[in-house]
Amino acid sequence: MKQFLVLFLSFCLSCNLFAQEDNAMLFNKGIEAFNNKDYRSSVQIFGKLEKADPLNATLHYNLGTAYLKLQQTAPSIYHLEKSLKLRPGYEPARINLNFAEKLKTKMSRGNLPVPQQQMLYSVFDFITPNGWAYMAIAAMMAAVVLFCGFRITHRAALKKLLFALGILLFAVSISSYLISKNQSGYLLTDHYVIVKETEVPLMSEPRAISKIEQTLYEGSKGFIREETGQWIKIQLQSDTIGWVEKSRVFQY
Amino acid sequence: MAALAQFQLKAEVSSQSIGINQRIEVRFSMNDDGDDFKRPQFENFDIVGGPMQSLNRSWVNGKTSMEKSFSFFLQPKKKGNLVIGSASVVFEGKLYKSQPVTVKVGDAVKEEPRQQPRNRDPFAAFFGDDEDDYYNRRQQQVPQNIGEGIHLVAKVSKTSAYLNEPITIEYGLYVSHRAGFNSLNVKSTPKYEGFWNHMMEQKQMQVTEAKLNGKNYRYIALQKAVILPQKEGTLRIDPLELEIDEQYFTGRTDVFGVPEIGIRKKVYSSGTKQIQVKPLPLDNQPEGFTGAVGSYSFTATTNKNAVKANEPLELTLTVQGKGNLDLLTLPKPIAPQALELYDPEKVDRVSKNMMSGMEGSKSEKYVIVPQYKGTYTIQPVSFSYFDIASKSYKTITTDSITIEVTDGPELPTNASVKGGTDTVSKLDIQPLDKENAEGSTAFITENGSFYAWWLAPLLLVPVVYIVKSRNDKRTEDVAGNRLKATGKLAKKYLSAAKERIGHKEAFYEALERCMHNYLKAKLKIETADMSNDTISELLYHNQIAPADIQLFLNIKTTCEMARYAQMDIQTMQKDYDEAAQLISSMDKQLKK
Repeated sequence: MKQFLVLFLSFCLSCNLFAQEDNAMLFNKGIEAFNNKDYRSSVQIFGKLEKADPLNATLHYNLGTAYLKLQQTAPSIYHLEKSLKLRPGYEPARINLNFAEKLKTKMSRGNLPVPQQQMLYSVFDFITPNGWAYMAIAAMMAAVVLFCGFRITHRAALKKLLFALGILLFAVSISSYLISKNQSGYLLTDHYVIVKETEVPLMSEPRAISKIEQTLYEGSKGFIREETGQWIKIQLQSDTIGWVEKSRVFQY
Repeated sequence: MAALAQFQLKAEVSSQSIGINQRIEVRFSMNDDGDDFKRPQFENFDIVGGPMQSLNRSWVNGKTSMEKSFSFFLQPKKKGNLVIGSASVVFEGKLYKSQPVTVKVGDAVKEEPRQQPRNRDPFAAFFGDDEDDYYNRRQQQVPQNIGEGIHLVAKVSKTSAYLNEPITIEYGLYVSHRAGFNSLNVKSTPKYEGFWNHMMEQKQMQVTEAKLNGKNYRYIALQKAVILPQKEGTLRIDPLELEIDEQYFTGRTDVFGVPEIGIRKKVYSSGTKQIQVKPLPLDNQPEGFTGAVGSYSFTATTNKNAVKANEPLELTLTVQGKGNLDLLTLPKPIAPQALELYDPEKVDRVSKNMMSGMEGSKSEKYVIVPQYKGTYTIQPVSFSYFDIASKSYKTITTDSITIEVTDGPELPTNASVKGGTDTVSKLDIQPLDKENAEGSTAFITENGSFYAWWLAPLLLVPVVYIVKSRNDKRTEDVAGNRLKATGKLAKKYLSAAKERIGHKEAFYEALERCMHNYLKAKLKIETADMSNDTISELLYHNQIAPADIQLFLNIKTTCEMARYAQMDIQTMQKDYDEAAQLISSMDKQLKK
């Protein structure tokens, strides 16, 4: 039984390794295609990798840059913005996003609201969300050890020390978990939209037949206010609020 | 005053029903002196004569009556029930209107030609009755060729066409060598309802020789037009109608024997033409199809591909070919906003001819003024049209055009504002990141096993606590009993000493006695043998640890010394505790 389990585990591990090796090969292939100016296949490869690993800033960056070379406004802006969201302060992404913004046919000025989670996110970004999660586990284990030690020992001074440290570590564990949750929650929820199509009407109500507030052009950004099945209520840089169809925008 | 109340404006027509070639008189009459007469529009008529105004005043039996009238002679423009609208007149500040009148206009009525006054033969009187016979005889000799020699024909290039497909139509007059006319008058021209039409200008009428039904005619092209059907279904083209002052033989000859030629008006019609218009197929209609039909080629070109900022360049979109060039719209190019695209200048070089309808090129020239440095792309432009030859839609897509703006200011964008550094934007597009750094496929907090790992250690705490307390209970039994026993022993043997804590001599005396009592009780020894050696030997035999033996001896010595030496009170409690400990320790060892 034990042998079987070991065999099974090693099999799983090897599978995983193979998959990783495969991805690394694909990744290099994508870069090679990009260097050979075959941006179309580069986009295909990175797109495939990105699907499997949607929270990888590097993949988004490479994909966005390849789209930029193909002069495709909306996907390029979307992937570069996503990359910047996943890795704030990622300088090459910011530079390329700057180039991508130039592709837009219509420029809009003004700022969009910043989601509340983003503040906390940038404060705690020095450790990855998973890092915080591991920290929560480690702190919890240490706290438990200390509590046990507190129970076992007889020396009053040591008891006091262990108890205090235990409480502290317990608090650290809980807060690490909450931070991790905030970080991952920020990355998993979409806050902005980017218009995918050349022209998309901004409706005053979430219905196909309603007053058109404004026409949005490819690459325009909006801040998500509300969502229904097929519609998103967005706020534009000009503070105009309206609804767009989900299928016609990228969300990030 | 009574006349005032009865003021009336009446409209009268000379006849309710006329032929299209006849005229009608309309008379608007009123029974008082109205001002500001306004005639109706007469949309369907031509005014041939009028207005003729007449004013009648009569005074009968002291009563004045008056009649004022306006008359018009009208010629109908078309057949059918035509309405003559109402005329208006102002009388004493009030507006009066006449009733509209309907006139039925039917087919042309054969009218007696207006003959020139017969040349009366001055000798007729002499020949008397013979005159008529003479004319009758001559009439039989002259060929009756009235109306035979002139044909008005409309030639249509196609009777079935697609929507927007150019059709040419030509109206021509065939005149045989034996016929002639003095003048012609266009009575009604086709309106081309449902068509977009373009009349071709003719510099001058040219008479050519042409054949019709195998006979030779002189031919004059009257009107040429290119028409594009705008509606589907069966469209009618109204006939062209001409009023021709036709020459004809009266059938008489003049005194010199030359046949007399009369002039008469005759209306010719080209007849109604019907054109079957087929709709363009709806399936496979490409997006961005704007109704171009024909066969075209489409190009988008720029005169320069690399410019400095603020240096203009031209983007020209050209459609060339055959088809409804006048009606098609060119697609709009989409350029990034940093390239300022001005409204286009339109250049049409379309020639219309009877061969192909419309041919030529149509272009739009956009002036682009780049504002900022960078590489910009003008998206591919697609032009779709319906190809008549293959009866299918065709789309021509140009390549995307790249414009390099080599010199100029940087484009300010939100991204660079966010970053705050402008030096960054001067760089080129950054290459790909070759390090696929994080493989963070997912967040472990989204996974259930994280919670197992995180919270499972907490379960260890109660487990440890339970185990510990169970363990404690066991050990506590031993320790507790011992403590209790020690207390009991101390109470039993040391109570006398405890009472005397504080009184030095009494306390130590009591303590020594207590210790002796304990030994006597436990080891059953006599008081007489209470020397140090005996005790240590005795204790040693009873397997008491040497340390305890030493402690016992120490306490004994302390007690003996305390009775004679000066000592602090504090040590009494300590000595008592030591004694208690010792007793309990020894007790444990003795029990083994």
